[in-house]
Amino acid sequence: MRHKLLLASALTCALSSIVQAAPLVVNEPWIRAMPSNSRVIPIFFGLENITSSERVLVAMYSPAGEVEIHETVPVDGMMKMQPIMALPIAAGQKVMLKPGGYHGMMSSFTHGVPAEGETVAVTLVYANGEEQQIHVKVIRRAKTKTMQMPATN
Amino acid sequence: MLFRTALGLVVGLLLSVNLMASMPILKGIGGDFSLQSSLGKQVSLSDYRGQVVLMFFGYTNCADICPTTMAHMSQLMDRLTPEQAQQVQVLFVSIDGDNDTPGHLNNYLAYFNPTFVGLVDERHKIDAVAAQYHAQYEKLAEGLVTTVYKKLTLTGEPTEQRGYLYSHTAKIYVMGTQGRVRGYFYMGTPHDEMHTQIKLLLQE
Repeated sequence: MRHKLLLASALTCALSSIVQAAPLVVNEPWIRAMPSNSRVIPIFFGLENITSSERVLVAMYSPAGEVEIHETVPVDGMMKMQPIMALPIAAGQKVMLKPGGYHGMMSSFTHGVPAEGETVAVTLVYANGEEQQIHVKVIRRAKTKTMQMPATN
Repeated sequence: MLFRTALGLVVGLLLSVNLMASMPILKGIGGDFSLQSSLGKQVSLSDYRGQVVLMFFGYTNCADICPTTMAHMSQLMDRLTPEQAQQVQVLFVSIDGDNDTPGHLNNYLAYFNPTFVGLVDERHKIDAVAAQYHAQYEKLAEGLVTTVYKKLTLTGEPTEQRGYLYSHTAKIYVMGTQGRVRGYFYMGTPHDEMHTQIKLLLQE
């Protein structure tokens, strides 16, 4: 009986934390599979704010390594990488973290560079204190339109 | 009617082939150079006469543009026939000689395609090649570099943290079989377009 109660309360806790901790919809999260001697790897996903108020992504963390939010921006014909301290997502809006734009940059790996096929837990931290854990698969290739085309000679 | 349609198709095909000219020779940019390579020896651009060379300036501590570009070129190589692939050489010029050793570059690039060659050398030699190709790069101001990047720095005085986060030209320089710059690809250039241009350059 006691066990059952404990289990029930644990479940309730788990469920409530999921509800509370998943304010935004995360679309197609992926990490680019990278060489095992890489010192940095990128994390990409889409974030859709289905709530009625703005959310600001301020940090990410993971047991697999340190994560920063970066942005690639074109400046004077060059591509510049810059850290982002706050990424606002207005109510009802979507933001894409994708190649050539916003991305998570993971480094200082605790267990080496995550290999192709592995899944990495990443926690998103919002300015209001909410946290949301996502699971990101390491894949070799991005899904791009050009990739779907058959090879021609 | 059928004949007319067929004729129209043939004319249309001929026209589209004629319209597809190869990339023009760009003047005032490029030229031969020799740099240390991931092959463990000096490599010159002239070593690749008869091949189309795709050259990119980057660094391996780059999370986004460089691996995205290398993955894009890796996918391109997979689309070429074996004969075409033998006539295309990807060169990755590292602007970060402090951290990218020839051995590191070799292991890094092999992941994308074992034929990719990395070039790295003393700073002034890399700068000379960058100037030849009008490629720009610069380190981000010290104050803006994050602690993560500072930790990534492998060398330098402990008191003087030399963080680095580069801005750099993200073009892929396309060189024809005579080693002349013919234009640029980008990480977003469709593979079909790249493939077509490469075929045209190889036919010259």
